[in-house]
Amino acid sequence: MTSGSTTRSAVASVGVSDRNASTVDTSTIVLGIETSCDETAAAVVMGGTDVLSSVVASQLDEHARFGGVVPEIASRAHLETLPQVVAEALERANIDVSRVDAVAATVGPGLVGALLVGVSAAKATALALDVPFVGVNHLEAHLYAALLDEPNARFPMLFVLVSGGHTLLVEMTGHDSYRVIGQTIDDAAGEAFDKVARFLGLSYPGGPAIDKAATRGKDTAIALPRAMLNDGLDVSFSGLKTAVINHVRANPHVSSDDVAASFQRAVVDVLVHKARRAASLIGANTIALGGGVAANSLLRSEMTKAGESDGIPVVLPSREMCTDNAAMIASAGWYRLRRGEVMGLDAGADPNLKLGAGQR
Amino acid sequence: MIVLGIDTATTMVSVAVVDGATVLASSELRSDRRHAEDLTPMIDFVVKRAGLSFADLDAVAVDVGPGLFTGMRVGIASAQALAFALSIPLVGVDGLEALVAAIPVAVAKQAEVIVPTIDARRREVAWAMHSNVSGRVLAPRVGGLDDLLAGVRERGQHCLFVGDFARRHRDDIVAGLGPHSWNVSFGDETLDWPIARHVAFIGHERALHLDGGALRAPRAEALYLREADAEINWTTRSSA
Ligand SMILES: [Zn+2]
Repeated sequence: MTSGSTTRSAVASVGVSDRNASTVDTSTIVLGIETSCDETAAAVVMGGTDVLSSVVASQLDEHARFGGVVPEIASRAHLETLPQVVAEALERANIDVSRVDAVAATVGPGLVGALLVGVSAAKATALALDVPFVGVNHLEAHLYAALLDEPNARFPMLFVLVSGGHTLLVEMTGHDSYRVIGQTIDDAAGEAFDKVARFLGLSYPGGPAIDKAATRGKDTAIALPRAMLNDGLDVSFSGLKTAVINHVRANPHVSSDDVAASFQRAVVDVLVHKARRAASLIGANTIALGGGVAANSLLRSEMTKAGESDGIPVVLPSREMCTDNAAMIASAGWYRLRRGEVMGLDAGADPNLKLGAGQR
Repeated sequence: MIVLGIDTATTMVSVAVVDGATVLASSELRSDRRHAEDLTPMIDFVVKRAGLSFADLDAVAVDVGPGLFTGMRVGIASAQALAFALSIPLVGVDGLEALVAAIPVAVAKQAEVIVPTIDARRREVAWAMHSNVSGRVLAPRVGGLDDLLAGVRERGQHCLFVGDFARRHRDDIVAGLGPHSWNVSFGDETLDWPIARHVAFIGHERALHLDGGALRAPRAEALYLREADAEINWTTRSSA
């Protein structure tokens, strides 16, 4: 395996299952559980890509008045909601829990108290059913959200993960082979959206609010910086955010729609530019997008356009699969299960889990 | 009726399988922030060493707190999932009640009221009051040592304290109660923490009285006794 990180995973005992790998096939049913942040989710996926059900209970309203996710509130809500969410996922899939062949859950990265609710429930379910428990890296799962609709997309793949917590350019040469080749040196893309939205007095979360305001504004209205554009594959959004704030302070009557449009254009320019650079560097056959910011309209259309002109297919997850969900966890879990990468019952959560860590 | 008991609400992690009043197997260990890592293998071990399979379990009982928030959630999430996967009833048990249930009858008889205590961190204590005659007389609550002492003084009866918080603050409690302190006794270290076997016994008693089997999505309500942190701040801010 390759790994862009030297951090050792705290997640226990990754091992090879005694389960015969050949029994993992297109009929294998994985129950997925996701509780890493502010969505409580469960899903039933067959054969890695056939989503039989995907249920997401958002805690957005409970956190909105704080302008961010409150860890203790998130943990409490996960514990309360998870039983109904799991029951509903199985009902919608129209299968009894006894038909589940493996249980997958996010083991990191994320909020540790929140992660532990899902990991505990998943391990207990696996134990009661006598099936394997598969620990899944949340970041890896975002990629599988894109592959749900395009399971035969070709490697090497450039995976652009843009969310509230992460901005990563990942080279993927196979299902078990990742290398982080670029990342933000300060704010994550989604974080920049949230901060600018809050400054403009738009609603939380900032991504959809800016996306909407931008459609009414002019994206060339304000000249904003594109940092480090021709400098490696890392990105930086902190200076852009500061430039927005300074501009608005100096021009208090500026249209916030224009600000939103100009800011969004700058973020998308940077992401698309870096993605093209990275894709040509690794000789990518596919560019895949993932994470909450991948739901952004401009990013989706500009990345697709760039792919067309460079002759590289761009894979976009459906909008509902961009944000956190458990179908992507079950899917990623199926691929790990097929490789025999199950975890022991002594697995815990790793809030700082890196992409590529915990793999054999 | 075979009941699996789970307790992860304090620094002790414990699991027991009981059949009526008989313990078939049990295990306990001190766990420092490794509740999730320790609990699942322990459930596996205890059920198997009891000579059972998971299909033999008739109900699950879990300590729902008070105690460590993250710890209690690990136990509750696991118990909820087990009850769901096995289609059996789930019983939530208050940890203070489990502490009282652990007191040997001969010891309990020497006092008129029993005050179970669990450390609530931030220099506070979670406690309740049980009477030998009438059962629980004060519901679980959290507060400073002064609140607890005021509650005991008001009662003015021979009082037995149990739980690790009371034992560690024995001198403060005796001094704080002043002239009444001759009326006070303390449980030994075997009564420091709620333990799964007592959670299972209480769960067994309650499960016998449940009508019907498992619910569609079994849940046990956590007994936090405190609002989530950010909510407390919010309330303070908006009232200021
Ligand atoms: Zn995510």
